[in-house]
Amino acid sequence: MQKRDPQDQALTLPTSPVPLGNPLTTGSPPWPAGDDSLATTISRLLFWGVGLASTIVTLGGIIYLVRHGHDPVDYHTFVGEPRDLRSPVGAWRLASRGQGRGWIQVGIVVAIVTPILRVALSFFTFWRRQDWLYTGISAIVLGGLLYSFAGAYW
Amino acid sequence: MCSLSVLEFSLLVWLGSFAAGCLGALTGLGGGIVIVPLLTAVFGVDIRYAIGSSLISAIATSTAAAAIYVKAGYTNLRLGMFLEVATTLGALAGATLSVVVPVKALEGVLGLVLLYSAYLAQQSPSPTEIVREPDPLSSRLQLHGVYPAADGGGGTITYSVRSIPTGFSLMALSGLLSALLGIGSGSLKVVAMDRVMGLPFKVSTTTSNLTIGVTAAMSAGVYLNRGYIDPGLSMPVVLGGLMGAAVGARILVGTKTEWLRGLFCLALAAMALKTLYKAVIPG
Repeated sequence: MQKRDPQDQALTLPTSPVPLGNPLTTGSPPWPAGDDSLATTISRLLFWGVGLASTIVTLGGIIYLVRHGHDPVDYHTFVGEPRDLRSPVGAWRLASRGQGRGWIQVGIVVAIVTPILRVALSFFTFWRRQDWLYTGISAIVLGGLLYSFAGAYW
Repeated sequence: MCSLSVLEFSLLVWLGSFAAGCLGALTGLGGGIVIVPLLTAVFGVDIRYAIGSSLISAIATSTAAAAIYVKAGYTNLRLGMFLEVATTLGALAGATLSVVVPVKALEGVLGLVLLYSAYLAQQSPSPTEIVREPDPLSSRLQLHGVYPAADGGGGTITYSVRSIPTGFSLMALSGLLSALLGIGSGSLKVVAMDRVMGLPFKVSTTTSNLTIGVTAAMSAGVYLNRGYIDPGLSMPVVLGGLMGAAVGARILVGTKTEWLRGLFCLALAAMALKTLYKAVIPG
């Protein structure tokens, strides 16, 4: 993508032709040229991410309620979660043994990872378009996210 | 509340989160802010578990909403990414601070934030003047954008962004509060983007929503690692909040939001007082 003069862009965009119809249904955002495809891909990623996460949480929840529905509940005192429920790897270990709480936690991890993937996707898109300013900005955000998650992964 | 079974408790929490998500979507104020006080003040849950579940719920709800908004073309992806630098750094600070801040102080801060949100909620959104003259910093960062005009004629409205340093700082503060209290802190973000940076209402709400997911994901890793995220509690909170927001967004057309705004504001104020009371009494 060649460098555009921002002021020039601001002046030309309002008059540029834009697809007709309800933007909510046609899904054609009149973005500065090129951001169109990024917006569509991001929208799809977020949709499938949250859909997958809530499906896994629901399935895990059913297993959990069927097995533990009649147990007494106590969240009044904080004890913290057992070690396996504190990391994605541990949650997967419990889930693979068919534990409902493990599956719910796996779904939660999918929910957490979805916005991180969105940042990663934006980073690579800006990189490919040689938009170095925004490659740098998204790299800072992505770096922070990976740093914070590195501690929780194991 | 200790005599409840897991099934009864999950059902009640699901209903509460559903109502919170529904009201949040209907009033456009976000339901996340009420989840923590709902769990602590009504269900007697320890604030650390409440913060963990509320964060996950904020991620799920904002992601689901962003999937729709981004496609509709209102969200400013560049501005969102730029402001996420502020919110994620703020969130990192907040998650680190939360280890040393005592629970009583957390409850105190939450009470004050709730009171402030109640104050903001009773104000009707004032239409902001669109910033048309290009701000130098906005141009340099290529933050200006266009969004579809409301008349449905296919026209677009161009806007610029002003007061970027102040807005950026406020976003960092909102990230800090989000990580500290497990809320989306949408009301503070809207103040930053609407009133300070002069963004059009639809752009500010949708872009603010986009940043919530990443901000919450930043601290969620830390909280997961610290054992604050309980699957049994998070399951009804996340599913109820998501369902409530989806229903709320559908029935938005044709409802009297002024009346709901008042109700939401009252609920916030009541929970603020209860949380503040809990923060000051010993034990």
